[in-house]
Amino acid sequence: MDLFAVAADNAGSLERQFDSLKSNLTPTKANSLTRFAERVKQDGRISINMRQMVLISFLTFGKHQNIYEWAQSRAEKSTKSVEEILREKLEEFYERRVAFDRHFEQRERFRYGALNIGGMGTTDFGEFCSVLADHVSSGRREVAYLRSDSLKTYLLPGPTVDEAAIRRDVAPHTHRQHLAAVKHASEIPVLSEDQWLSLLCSNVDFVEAIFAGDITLGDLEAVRMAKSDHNLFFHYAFEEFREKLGDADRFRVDGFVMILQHLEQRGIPLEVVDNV
Amino acid sequence: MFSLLAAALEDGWAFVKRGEEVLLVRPPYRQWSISVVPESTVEKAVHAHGFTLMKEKFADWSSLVAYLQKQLVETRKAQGQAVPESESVQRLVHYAPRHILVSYLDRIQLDLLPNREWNAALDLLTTLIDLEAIKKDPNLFDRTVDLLKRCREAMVEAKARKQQLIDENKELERLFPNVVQRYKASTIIKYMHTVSERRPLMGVGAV
Repeated sequence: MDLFAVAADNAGSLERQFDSLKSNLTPTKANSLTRFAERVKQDGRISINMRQMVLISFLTFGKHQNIYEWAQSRAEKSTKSVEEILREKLEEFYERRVAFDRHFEQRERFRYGALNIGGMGTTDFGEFCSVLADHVSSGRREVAYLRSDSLKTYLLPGPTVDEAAIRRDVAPHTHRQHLAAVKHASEIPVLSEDQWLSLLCSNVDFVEAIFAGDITLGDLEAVRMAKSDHNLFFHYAFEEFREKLGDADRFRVDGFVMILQHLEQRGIPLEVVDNV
Repeated sequence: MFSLLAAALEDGWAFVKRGEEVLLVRPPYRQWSISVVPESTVEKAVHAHGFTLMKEKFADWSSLVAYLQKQLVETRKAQGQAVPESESVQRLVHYAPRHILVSYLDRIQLDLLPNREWNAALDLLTTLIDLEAIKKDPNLFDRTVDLLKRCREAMVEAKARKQQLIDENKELERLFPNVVQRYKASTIIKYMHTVSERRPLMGVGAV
């Protein structure tokens, strides 16, 4: 299955779903839905949450590896095949992962992110939310958006891929706002605009972005982090003047300094976000 | 009992099972940095975010945290990093935004100086006064200079007080050489104060 071609073909259907939904709402609710869709169209970026060492590695080497690229680089220094390395790495998850990925063309180039309009993203995977510039998604054909986490949503027992559901939901970049609005139609009118950020993208749920190809440092628009984490690092720096920190905290503060240096050198802003 | 499901050891992050719950545990290992997650999060963490499946078990929370902290240090050392020196950690002050600088000055004023942590205060204030962000902000600059002055005065005063104590001890040794050998100087001084504050046993001129 060519996920990106299917996404492009689904654009009209998503637009019709959106229009039909709106026509059945009161004018006030329809207006909310329209404003939400406009916000997603204007501010919607792909974000990837990274832990400290993942971000440092990306900022230092300018490369971000998916699991296939990681396994390939391991295989080059080993006698094991890529598949053996993947099997060892994923253990009980191997069958599901492979069942899902094998369904798609270009699967080994897939990279996963989330559609984000300003929040902290999926912090269960990393405290730093790397926001990719608009050109990453608008400038390439190979981008698709799914209603939710792909493995959780589109993998049936077997395991087999729920292709019908993917064909129904998948959106190209140009129509990601319709997918998001259709998904959250019942919640948007009753929430404030501030709450839209975490409604669209949080640890609980997110619109998954899948794209093929590399990302480089030039693709990084901003890095976000939570105020609690940010302030804690500065608290540690203060405490270091009083009494030496433990080794683990020293490594973490030093790592944060490295991140700030890289961001400053490249003119990439660090956005500190209030904790929800 | 905590069962480790998956971890990113270089960052000290881990998914652990406690009873039926799956927890995400990460530095600083406080209540706010621990969350309950669905088990499916572990799968995604492993295939898309570099976590490694693990099988270790820990009897209690403190042994789990000690293990993760140790592994963070060992993994980073194995990657060729040395434990950062104080200067590396203190470099972060150079990136402090204004509200953090204000909080630093508040804490110097309210914590360090009253606690007589003058060396820490002096080191920090000396670092702060060189920052462009402080130099360019008249309010912060004046406050930093004022605290530096207060810190120096307090240090001078403490030094003088210490000197006074040394001098008092020397005087005691001169006046009461045998007593000083038997009792501590502070005890003698305290006794002298007590005696001087008491009324005389007999009135003046009594026979």
